[in-house]
Order: sequence, then structure tokens, then C-alpha cells
Amino acid sequence: MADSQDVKKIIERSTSKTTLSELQKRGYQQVKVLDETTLMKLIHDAVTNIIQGKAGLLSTEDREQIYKDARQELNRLMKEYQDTKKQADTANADKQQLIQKIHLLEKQIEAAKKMGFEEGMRSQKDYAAKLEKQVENLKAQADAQSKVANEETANQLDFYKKQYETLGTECEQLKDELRKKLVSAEQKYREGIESQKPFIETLQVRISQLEGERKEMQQKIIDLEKELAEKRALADLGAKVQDKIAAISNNDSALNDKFSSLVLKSLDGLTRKIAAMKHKLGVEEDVEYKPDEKLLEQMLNAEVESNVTGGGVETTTGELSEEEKALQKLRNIKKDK
Amino acid sequence: MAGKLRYGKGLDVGTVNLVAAEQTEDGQIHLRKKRNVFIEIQIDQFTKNILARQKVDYVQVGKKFYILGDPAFELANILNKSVRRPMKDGLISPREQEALPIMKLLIESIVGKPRIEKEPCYYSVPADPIDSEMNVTYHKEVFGKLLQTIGSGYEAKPIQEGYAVVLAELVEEDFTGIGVSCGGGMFNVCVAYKSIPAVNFSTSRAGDWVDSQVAKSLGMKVEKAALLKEKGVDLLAPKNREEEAITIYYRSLISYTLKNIKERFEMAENKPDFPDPVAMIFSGGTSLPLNFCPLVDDELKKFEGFPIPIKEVRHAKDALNATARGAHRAAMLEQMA
Repeated sequence: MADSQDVKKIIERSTSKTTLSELQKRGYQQVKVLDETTLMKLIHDAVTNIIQGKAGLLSTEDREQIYKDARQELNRLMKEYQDTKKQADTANADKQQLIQKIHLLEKQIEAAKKMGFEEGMRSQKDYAAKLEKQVENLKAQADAQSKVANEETANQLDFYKKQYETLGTECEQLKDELRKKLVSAEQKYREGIESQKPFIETLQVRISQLEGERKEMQQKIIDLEKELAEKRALADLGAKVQDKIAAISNNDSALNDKFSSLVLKSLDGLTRKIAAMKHKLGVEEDVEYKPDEKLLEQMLNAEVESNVTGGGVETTTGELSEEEKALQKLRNIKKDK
Repeated sequence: MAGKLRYGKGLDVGTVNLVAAEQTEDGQIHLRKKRNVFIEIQIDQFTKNILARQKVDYVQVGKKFYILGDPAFELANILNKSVRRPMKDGLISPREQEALPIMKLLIESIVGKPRIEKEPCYYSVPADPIDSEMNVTYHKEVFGKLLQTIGSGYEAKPIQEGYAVVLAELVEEDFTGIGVSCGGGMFNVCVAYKSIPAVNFSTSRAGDWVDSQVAKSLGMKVEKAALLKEKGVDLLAPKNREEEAITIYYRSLISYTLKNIKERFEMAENKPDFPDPVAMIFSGGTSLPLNFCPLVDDELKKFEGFPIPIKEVRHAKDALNATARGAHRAAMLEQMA
């Protein structure tokens, strides 16, 4: 069982021991456990199965070759595993070192913080002490000042009090005087009123008269305004009438034309009728009706709008020479006459 | 251009059509025609725009709108209204004074403005009617004035319709013969000798008279009788009762005309002595039914003692435009002087 011993060693070398708490730290709450003996058996069975499966097809040399190849492969894999494990161990060791460093640094930071805090506290305390001192100084000053101010205020207060008393006395005196004056004024007023009464009555009468006149004036103003409005309306009407007259006079020529046209037409009709009557009656003089020239012109020059064109030429005749001959003949005949 | 441009214009003022003739710079004789009819309608700006887009001739005189020419007939049918003819029985009615601006517009559209100062314009007028009291003077004055108000003004001169036919159609006969313009309202007759009119008169029996007589005898509307005639009737071989009636009244009309030619010729002072038989020329719309001239021949044969020897009865080369061309020739002749 040399092979099984090799596998054991390989398994031994390929595995590492750890504690449950470590596993817990890594987040493993449950793990599957496989003991060494079972593992060995599993491997042995797997290989045997494979080999037995192919045993019927393989020759002895082949089987031996397979074992050899399998062993070589296993060795290679083991070597790989070991290398990887070595690397992992190295990495782990590095990691541990780093962790330790981190812890150290954290401690240093804490220390520094503490130091800084203490220093800060110290400087704060110094500053506070300074401030307190300043406050005390100011307080002392304020006390001193307020003491002075208090004294001054008290003096002023006394002064004003005295003033007040003086003024109060004067005020009372003035009141008395005013009272007296008011009484006398009232008296005089009453006397004055009595004496002015007739005058006042007269004034009142006058006021009522004026009031009446004012009302009359108001009414007059209203009446005048009405009148003014009427006159303005009349003036507007007058202006409109004037405009119309102007328009009418402008249209005179058009009206004249229309009128003269109507007259001419009527005269023309009348002349025709007269001519017809004369003819019926056998009047010997010239009875032929001749239209009025002016009327004719008017009718012929009436404004028209049309799209009448010259129209196409309906017929053309050729043989100008024929026409010339005819003309010459006609001219000659007429000349002979 | 062959030959010299001759100024001067001719205007046929017909009851149904207005026709103008002039020579253009290329030596051609140009004829322009417009229907002498209109209808009054109520329209708004929207309708006016449609009319303009559809190139329907319209004219606005004051607040009234008129549609002119052939569209007036169509509109009359649609609106169940009657068209208005400013001319009746070959003359302008004094009652249609409001039509004058419209007539001016129509005439100006075909005659145009004078090309030279006082360009002569001969316009057709009926001769004095022998069987009615129609006023030819009014017609003469109106159109004379009308032409004077176009552009810088034509030198307007009247020419009797019958005489215009002589000038237009009797070139080979040295302007000797009888010219008859067969209009709707009037027949105009001119007997001329070497371009000198010996007899000039008009009768009120014409195309419209035939229509009204046929309508009366057959108990139908005048419009229907007119339509029958326009459809085409062989005057020497009527096919039915209506055509027979038409033929009968045509015969009556021709007989009436020949009778009046005889009477007027015999009454005329200084009547010419025709050494040779002369041609009798018929123009105008009323002379267009088939075998009209043979019918005249037939009536002439029946006529006893016709004072003028007739060598032939024929249609004008350009039956509908002969009056305008004759008037034009008269105007050009004046320019040759």
C-alpha cells in the first residue's frame, strides 16, 4: 500500500488545520466534514472504478501505463496545490503582518489624537482664562463707570426734580391767570354777543337772501347750460346741413347732366310723336324725325364695360386684281358721266 | 402685296347680321361678321368671370348686363326669354335707345378704328319704304353719328342697300341692272344704269313677312315657320303642306316686289332707257332657299308689261356679304379720287 501512503502524505501536505472559531470569524457557520479514511477510500474507489471499467478493454501494459500516467498526473496536481498553498500561506502571513501594522498605526493615531486633544484643551483653557481676565477687567471698568454714571444720574435727577417743582408752580400760576382771562373773555363775549345780536340777525337775513339768490343763480346757470346745449345742437345741425348743401352743390353737375338727359329724352320722344302725328294728319312739310345730336352723342358715349373682341375674320376674298379691275371700271364709268 | 392698299370700309347694318369689309395690307378683302342680337340678364362677378373665361361676349351698361351674339340665342332658350333685336324690319328702333351703346360696341368690334384720318366708311341704309311709315332718317342719323364716334371718327356716308348690291355684283354689266337685297325685314331694290341709281325703294314684305304668313295659314308659331324655311325648301318642288305654304308666300313676295319695281320705275323721273336686257341680282338670306331665282324667273314670265328687259336672274356671288362688299367698293372708290 505504498500508493495509499503517498496519497495520505499528499492529503497531509495539502491540508491545514484550523479552529472552529477561526472558521466562524471567516463567516463559516456550517461546514461539511470529511475524514481522512473516507477520503482515501473515495479516491481508491474512484481510481479502481475507472480502471476496472476500462479493465476489460485494456491490456495489462495499458493498465500499468494508466496507473503510471495517473500517478504522474496526481504528483503534478499535488505539486501545483502545494505551490498554491505556499503562496496562500505567504499571503496570509503578509496579511497578518499588515493587520499588526494597522493595529499599531491605530494606536499611534489614538495617541496623537489624545495628544492633540489635550493640547487643544490646554490652549482653550488658556484662552478662556485670558477671556475671563478680560471680562473681569471690563466688569471692573463698567462698575467704575456705572458708579460714576449713577452719581451723575442721581445729580441730574435731583436737578430735574427741582426743575419740575419749579415748573409745576409756574404752571399753576399760569392756570390761574388763564382761568381768570377765560372768565373775563367769556364775560366780554357775552356782552359782545348781546351787542352784536342785531348785527348778527341782519347778517343772517342777508345770508338767507344771498342763499336764495344763489339758488336762483344756480337755476339760471342750469337754464343757460340747457340753452347752450340746444344752441350747440343747432349749430351741429347747421353744420351738417351746410355739408349736405355743399354735397348737393357738388352733385349739381351730375344732377344737371341727368336732368338735361331726361329733358332731352323727353323732348326727343315728344318730337317723334309730333312727327308721327303730322304724318298722320298729312302735313306736307318735312315730317321726318331727326334725333337730337346731343342726345345721340350722350347715348353713344355711355360708359360700357365689355369683353367684346374683334372676332375672327369670317371670309376673305382673294383676287385683288379683280377688285382693282372693278374699281377702275367704276371710276371710268363715273368719269364718263 | 399685290396692288396698292386702299383705305375705306364698308358696313352692312343688317337686321340679323352686321358685316364689315375692308382691304388689308396683304391686299385681301376681309369680312367680319357679328350677330345683331343680345339678351339682358342678371349676373354677378362670379358669372362674369365665367363668361369671360368661356369667351362669351358680354357688355355692361350701367347696372345692366347683356350677352351678345349667338350665345344670346342659346341663353334665351335656356332661360325661356326672348332675345332683343336692336333692329326691326331693317331699321333701328327709336325705342331701343338703350341698345345704341351695344350696337356701337358690336360695330366697333368688326369695323375697328379708322386707319387714317377721316377714313371713309359707307354704311348700308334702307331706301325709303313705299308701304310703311318707318323712319329711315333716324336710322341714317344714328349710324352716321355712331361711326363718327369710333376712334378719331370715320367719315360716315350712307349707301342704299340695293345700290350696294349693284356695285358689288354688276361689274361685268357695267353696273347696270337691278340689285335686290332680300333681308328679313325689308326688300331693298335699286335699278341702276351705269352705276347711277334710277330707282331706289324698299318694301316691308320680306323674309319675316313670309314666316308670319306661313305661321298664320298653318296655325303654327312664327319661330317654327322660320325654322322650316331655314331647314331647306325647294321652292319649285315643295314636298309637303308646309313647304307648299312657304312656296306660295314666296311667290306672293316676289310678285309683290316685281309689281313695285314696275310701279316705281314707271313713276320715276328721268328713268333710263335700257337698250339691252339687264341682270337682276338677288342677295341676302331670304333669297337663299333652293330655286329662288328660277321662281323669280317663273313669276317674271307671268308678269305682263314689266318695263325693264331682264336677261337673267341670278344670285349674288356672295349672297350674305354683297351689301358690305358693295359699300366697301364705294368707300374705296372715294379714295381713288
